[in-house]
Amino acid sequence: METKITCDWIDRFNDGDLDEKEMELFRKHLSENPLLRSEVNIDAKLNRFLHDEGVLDLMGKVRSVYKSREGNHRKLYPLLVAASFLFLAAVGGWFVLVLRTPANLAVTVPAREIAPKITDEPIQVSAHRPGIRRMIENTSLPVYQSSPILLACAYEPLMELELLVGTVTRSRLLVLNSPEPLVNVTSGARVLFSWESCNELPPVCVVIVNNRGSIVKEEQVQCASGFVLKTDEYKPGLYYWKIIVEGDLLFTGKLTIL
Amino acid sequence: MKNSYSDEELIEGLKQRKRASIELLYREFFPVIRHYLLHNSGNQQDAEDLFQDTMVVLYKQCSAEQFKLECSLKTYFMAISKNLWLQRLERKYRLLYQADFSVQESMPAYTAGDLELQDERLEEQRVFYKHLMLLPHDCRRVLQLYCLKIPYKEIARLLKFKDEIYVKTRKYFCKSLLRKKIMNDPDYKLFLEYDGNKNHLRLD
Repeated sequence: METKITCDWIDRFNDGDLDEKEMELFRKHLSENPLLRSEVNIDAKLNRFLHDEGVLDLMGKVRSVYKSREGNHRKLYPLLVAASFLFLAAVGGWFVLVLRTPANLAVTVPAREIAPKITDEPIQVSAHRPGIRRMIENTSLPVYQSSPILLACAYEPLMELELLVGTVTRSRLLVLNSPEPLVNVTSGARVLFSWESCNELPPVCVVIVNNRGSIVKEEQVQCASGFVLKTDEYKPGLYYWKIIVEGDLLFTGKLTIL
Repeated sequence: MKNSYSDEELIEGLKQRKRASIELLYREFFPVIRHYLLHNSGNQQDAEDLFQDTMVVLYKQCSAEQFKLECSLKTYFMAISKNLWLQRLERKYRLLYQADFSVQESMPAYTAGDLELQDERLEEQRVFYKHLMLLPHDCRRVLQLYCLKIPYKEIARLLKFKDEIYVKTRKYFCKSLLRKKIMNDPDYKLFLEYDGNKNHLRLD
């Protein structure tokens, strides 16, 4: 009876389990069949590989590290997306706040309700507000205010003097040549007050009042027909000027320092 | 888990195949390998394979009694990686080169002295491992227990098989299945062709 080679012969050959007769037959097949040779070769390599328990274990652990890292990354994706969204929302919100101009605020914010106290000392503009800093720098204004709200309040009109602007309240022989009742100047500009009289010039008092009614400057001019007001010592805002002669208010005007 | 280990601690951990050491080695060296490969004709998959192979080589070397680390572990690790990668590139190039029959001249081979450092062998092992993991669970267990030289009777008891004859039959079947899978693997076919080419060259 002819002996048939089965696939288990390869294992048995490599394990040394074939008897003499089987071994002879197998060797004969082996010499004739290159595919069988390859399979026997692979089986021998596989045996060596499977016996190397340490390498097998190590390869498994390295692969599991890859998988766990990959898993961690996958878990992180939703968190990253959420964090990115929050970051963008925060940045967007910050820009919206910073890009709001004082002019807009003056219209929208009821400044009287806020009623901030403006101090005479310059207040440092926060470095976190680059929009405000840029806006002030662009208009060549000195840095006095810490926020657009304070700036807006400095231009709020004072109603009790607003009504007197441009009116001549007393008749005296004094003619005001300048300034005009409404004057807009940039900070640092000089404002000329000049007057004349057909008689001897009386002592004239020039009073500068801020928009909250406080006197910021009072100048007595004796025997002169004019006075130059230097605005560089004033912070930007709305001011009123008064020309008073011997206790009588003659002229009132408005001075806006930008 | 500690965040930093000395080279000696890492080597010791690797010898014992501790997961913490493997993770730390991965964290430290994998980005470097990936960066190196991405700039040297490799990709992410190549980087993963190369890292695993380097770990195997390092494990085998540090398990040897005479092993002594004479430079930093990173330098050593990268030297192994680069050596393996050069061999791999050379082999790929050689396959392409020899496939062109118009080229008649022979090409010098880049070889590493140490057998364990031979890239072909590591790549073979990777193919074996891949297909071993694709086998049914009981097949894997039978083969692993058999290779640990556990007697068939004991394997039958452990795996709740009917008897040792069934274990034997199962082992033959699983081994045969594994061999067939490996032989049909396109990556492994390249090895067979390459072996064939080598034999051919030697015979000439």
